[in-house]
Amino acid sequence: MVDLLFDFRQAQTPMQLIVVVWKPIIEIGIIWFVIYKLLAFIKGTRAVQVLRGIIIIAVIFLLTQQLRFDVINWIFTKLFALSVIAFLIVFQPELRSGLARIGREKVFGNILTEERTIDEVAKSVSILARKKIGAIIAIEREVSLEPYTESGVPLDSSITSELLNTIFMPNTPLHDGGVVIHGDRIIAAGCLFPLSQSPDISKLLGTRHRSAIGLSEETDSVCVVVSEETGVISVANAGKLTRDLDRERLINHLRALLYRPKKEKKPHVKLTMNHFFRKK
Amino acid sequence: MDWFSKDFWLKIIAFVLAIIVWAYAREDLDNIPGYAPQGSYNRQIPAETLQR
Repeated sequence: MVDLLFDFRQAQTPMQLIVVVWKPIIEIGIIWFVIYKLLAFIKGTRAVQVLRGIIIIAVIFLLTQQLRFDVINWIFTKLFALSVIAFLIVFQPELRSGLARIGREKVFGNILTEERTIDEVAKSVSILARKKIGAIIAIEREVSLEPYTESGVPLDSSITSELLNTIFMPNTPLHDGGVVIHGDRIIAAGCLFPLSQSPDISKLLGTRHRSAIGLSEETDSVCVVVSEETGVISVANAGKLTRDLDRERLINHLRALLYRPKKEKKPHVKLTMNHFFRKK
Repeated sequence: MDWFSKDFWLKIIAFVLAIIVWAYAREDLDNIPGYAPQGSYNRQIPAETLQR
């Protein structure tokens, strides 16, 4: 086992020995991290059942190989080529959201949402919740929501709670879809969002909540939802739903997710030094 | 410690799979004629490769 991991024949000097020992450890560490992330991602999706099926088929395949059932083995080998295409089709939603998750890993992390947007959304949502009017509001962050705004009606108007309330008023043309907000502008209304395929979502939650979770899975946006049945305010972020928020908690939650005040400038080195010596 | 206890069995399974995958890849690479890992100290250039 040790010989397999470390090829000591390559090492002639202590430095070479370090390289020989560390290289496989780093390589295995990287593979371990990737496999773990993959398993953790699959764990929360419907892909678990499919994965179990694949493992059973793999065990049967290995058994037929060992028992030399050549015909069965031949069929399995031919089916393998097809199964790659089937895998891509079956796991298409998981692959899409997984790649989107990798792509949206924060590099610069400069989310600048206006304080006013949070206040207006919170004000509107609390009124809608009181009246038990269903609503779904998606606040864009770094990933563009343009593909979803195309399914709705473009607005591009300044954000006000009155406008949001009017959009979601029942029996109006735009009420049965989502609103997309970018910065302090309402970009579109009546937008269709993707439904989450996660099996963990409670059956008590309707399509509105499922689509809020779906959008937050596929993009880095934050979705505020008001339940039509209970008037409960929820926030979906990164595929997770935070429920039962009142106005204050909603504002705090949205601030934590969206609002990043501009960083204060670091004090000049000379000032820092002066401060340091004065203290002493 | 908290990091380790979270999804403990998933990490163990991932670790075992990582070693299996690495061992298979290593064995496959070692079976390639004339191959030696990039940057290895006793790397030999195959005889048929044009040397300048």
